[in-house]
Amino acid sequence: MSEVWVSRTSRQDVRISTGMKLTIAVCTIVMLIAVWVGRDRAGDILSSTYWFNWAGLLYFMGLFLQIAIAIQYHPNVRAGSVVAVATGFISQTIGMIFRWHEAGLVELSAVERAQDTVLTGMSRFVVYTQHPPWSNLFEIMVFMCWGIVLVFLVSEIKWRIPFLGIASLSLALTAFFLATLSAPAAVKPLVPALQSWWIMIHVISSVVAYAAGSLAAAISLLYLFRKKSGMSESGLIASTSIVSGVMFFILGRGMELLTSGAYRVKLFGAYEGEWMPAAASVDGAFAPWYQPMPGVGGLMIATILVACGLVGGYLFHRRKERTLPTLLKYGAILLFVLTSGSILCQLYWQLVSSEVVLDTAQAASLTAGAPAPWRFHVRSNPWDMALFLIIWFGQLLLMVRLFAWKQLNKRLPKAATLESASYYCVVVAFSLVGVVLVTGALWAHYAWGRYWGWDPKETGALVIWLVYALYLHMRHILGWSGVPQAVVGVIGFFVIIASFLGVNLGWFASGLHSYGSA
Amino acid sequence: MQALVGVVELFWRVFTSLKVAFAIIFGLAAGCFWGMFFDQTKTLEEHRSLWAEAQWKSAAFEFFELHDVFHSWWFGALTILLIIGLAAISIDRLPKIWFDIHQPERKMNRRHEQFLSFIARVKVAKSTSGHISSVVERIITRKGNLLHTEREGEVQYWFNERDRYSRTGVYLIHIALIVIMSSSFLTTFYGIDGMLMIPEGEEARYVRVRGPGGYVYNHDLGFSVSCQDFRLKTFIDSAPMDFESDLVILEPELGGLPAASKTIQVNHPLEYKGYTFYQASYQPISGEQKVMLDLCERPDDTIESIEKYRACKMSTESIYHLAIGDKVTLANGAGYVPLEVIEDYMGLGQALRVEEKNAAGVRTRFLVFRDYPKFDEQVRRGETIVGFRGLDKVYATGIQVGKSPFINVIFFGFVLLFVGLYMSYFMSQRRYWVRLEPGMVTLGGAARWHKEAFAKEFDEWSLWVEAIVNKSEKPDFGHAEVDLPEEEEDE
Repeated sequence: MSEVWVSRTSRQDVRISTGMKLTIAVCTIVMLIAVWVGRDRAGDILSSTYWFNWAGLLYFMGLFLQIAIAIQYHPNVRAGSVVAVATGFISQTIGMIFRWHEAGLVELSAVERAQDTVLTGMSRFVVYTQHPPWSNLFEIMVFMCWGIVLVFLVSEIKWRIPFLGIASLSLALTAFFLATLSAPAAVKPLVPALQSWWIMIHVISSVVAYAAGSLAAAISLLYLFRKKSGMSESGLIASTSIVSGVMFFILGRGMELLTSGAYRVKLFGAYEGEWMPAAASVDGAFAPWYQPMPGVGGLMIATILVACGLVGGYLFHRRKERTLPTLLKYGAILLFVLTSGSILCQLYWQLVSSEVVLDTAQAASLTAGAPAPWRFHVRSNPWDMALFLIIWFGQLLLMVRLFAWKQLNKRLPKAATLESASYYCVVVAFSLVGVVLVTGALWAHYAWGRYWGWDPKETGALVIWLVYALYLHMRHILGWSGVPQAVVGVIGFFVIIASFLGVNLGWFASGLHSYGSA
Repeated sequence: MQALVGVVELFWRVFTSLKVAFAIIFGLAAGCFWGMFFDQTKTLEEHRSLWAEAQWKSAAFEFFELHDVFHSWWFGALTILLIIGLAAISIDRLPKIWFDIHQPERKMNRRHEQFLSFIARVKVAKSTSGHISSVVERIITRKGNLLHTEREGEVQYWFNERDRYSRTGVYLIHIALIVIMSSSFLTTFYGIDGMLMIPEGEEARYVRVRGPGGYVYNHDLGFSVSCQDFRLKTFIDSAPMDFESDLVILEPELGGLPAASKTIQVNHPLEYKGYTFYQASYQPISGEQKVMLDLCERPDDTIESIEKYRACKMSTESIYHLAIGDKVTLANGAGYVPLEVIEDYMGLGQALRVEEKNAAGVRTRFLVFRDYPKFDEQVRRGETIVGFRGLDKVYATGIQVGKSPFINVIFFGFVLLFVGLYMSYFMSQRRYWVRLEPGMVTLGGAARWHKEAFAKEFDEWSLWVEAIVNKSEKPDFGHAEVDLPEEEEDE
């Protein structure tokens, strides 16, 4: 093995410091307490929930250890984290097998009750297996988590890129929590269009492709931050500001945030001892009630303004190459503080503050839904929260790059390794998106009578394919490997989010794929 | 003439330019994004009526056909440009790649060595140079069958190659894309993609098709499609489990006689004269509501009667579609009248009140439940077992009519695409050279893709060569020089 294939790790620091030992001990105790507290709620050992809970816990432990080795590297801690993640992966796989079994039982009983017969033999087997554990939003998010962890484990065997564990495990856990927070977990019988064997290969390849694409984006991001000669600090600040500003603008529902100054999320009311979304009666139909979260809107507007200012400052100072104006640096800190502030403010409303008092007019229109007391809940805006956290993570990386570059650089592998790692991820994603497009076209031909109908989701997959085709051609033909390529890799992630979640969450015109959200 | 050549050359240069191709792809991606975000199901008139406050907005909207962007003139033009560009690029690069595949540099001399990124040298004792030639043969045949060897004085050359044709994988992908895109483009002119809503018991001949500009027009099939019956099977919670229609094709050439018939289901279409009829959706039509009663004779203990009962339960012939108040009389003289439907009877779900008048003339009234099919069998000890199969609404079946004459070409394109993807990304053209001169073995390598993996392979190969050439404990050549990118040191 030549040195290229081993990441640069400081081999001198093999001793674990006392502080780290203490932290790991505390973490272990917390985990054990979590297991002890949750032992009654974990469910039966022969149910999927039991194994999913274990998987979540083990991923969390792996993430914690990854953060620990990012601060101080130690081979044993790294091995521990990989073992934790791998064990979690196995238990999630077992959980998915159980889920398949549970779904099969639901299908069987539904079909048997509807037809008033007892199925036997081959027809029983077909009905039992036709409902794979990736056919609604909850299951697809859990499966997405599985895919990301799979790609992460492969990359860990192949490249051992520090920080990548943090990025991919956070992403996987985000998918996991989004699944449990916002999507109904109950198994429902499949709608007729999904009763097809194409669902197997089509969905598996799309999940692995999107996971590989997300990882490619994370590696590209690390590459951008690793390579000092590639992108100047002011350039990084400017691009982070652009992404943050645009995402905040989208999260604030476009002009609504700027005109009304309010960031609205779902309000929850107590309904038979459970927190349910409050609804108001609008023209005879019930619609979820969106209540402005106090303080968050202002912070978001301030963030957008600071981001605009930073981009302006960058354009103004662009001629002074390489020298970073102090003002830009302070501006970046302000951006980070404001973003953290808006996240903390939301967490305060969701977790700490117990009650929201409405004026009488508002309260009157709300009585139709869940009654008082009202509050903000974790389930008020989980999808937005995930995007907030992704932006925050990027800004955190920017902070590390600006103020702890030496430490970051010492831990990260060579730029060439990062580049080749992201290239391989893109190759996997590109090939599998090709498989997704072709199997989707075949399935559509047999199920809907046309192989291509410009449905938003298939168009999204096509755009992802085009973006990655661009990436590969940049590398092979133009020789633009490096910064421009990494930028395209990062853009790919946002296209993936738009096409993966956009359709299911109803951001776009509804299409034929929207039954996945049921 | 000269001007014409100049123009052709200019066009050729434009179309073979990768940057132009990038611009086209960028335009297509932008169109795709617009189509994803913006509702594409309304016609231009509907958009105008929704918002037409600014003249320029409306004009721009109309000019770029943004209500139906995927069928707009500019999207089509970009697609054609991309097809031409792909073809031009493929033709442009063909000679170079062909030459490269068939005429590789087989002799790695000092000059050619400078162009290779992977070079390793292994020193050998001069005295062994003579017999080492056979050892070197082993070295090169480790990488597959020997392709070429030649001798020039004291210097001997070997050459080997793996996966030579993997370079054509990219070609296959591009050709597949040209095939798929051009046949899709032709499908928009010669194909049909429309909807047909046929109420049960009626027939239809004209398909609603969304044409250019988002306008809907009727397409004449040339024959009629009749829907004899539509059946919706539901789960207990009334979510659809499956739906099917009995379709019959009525051909005017045969004087309106049936030419084909089939029961179509989701994923199981009917094909006729190049048209394909897919079960896509259904729609209830308001009309008289009927209830479905199923009436079977109660079995006694003999096996025959139990079998008969079971067959009766399974068949659809025992199901009677009755309006409220209608009477059905069975062969044994008993008569049944559905009296009223109760939407939810004491939390037990939908129920039906039925009046029975048996052969002796005795009237009884009782309830049957949709969700509890065995209720009547187990609770009421009547001669006939009554089951309530739910309400029978009148439906219109929604049939997607498709005609894609080039579908087989497109499928062929898919196959090409897969083969191309496999060849490009799971195979890699690799070349190996060995030069033996007195006192030195030089190894050379080149790979088309996957240079990192090849670096590893080459590294292992050179170490292996080192071991096999010098079997002494301490080789005197020091180390294998592997030409890898320099360690990057920032700051």
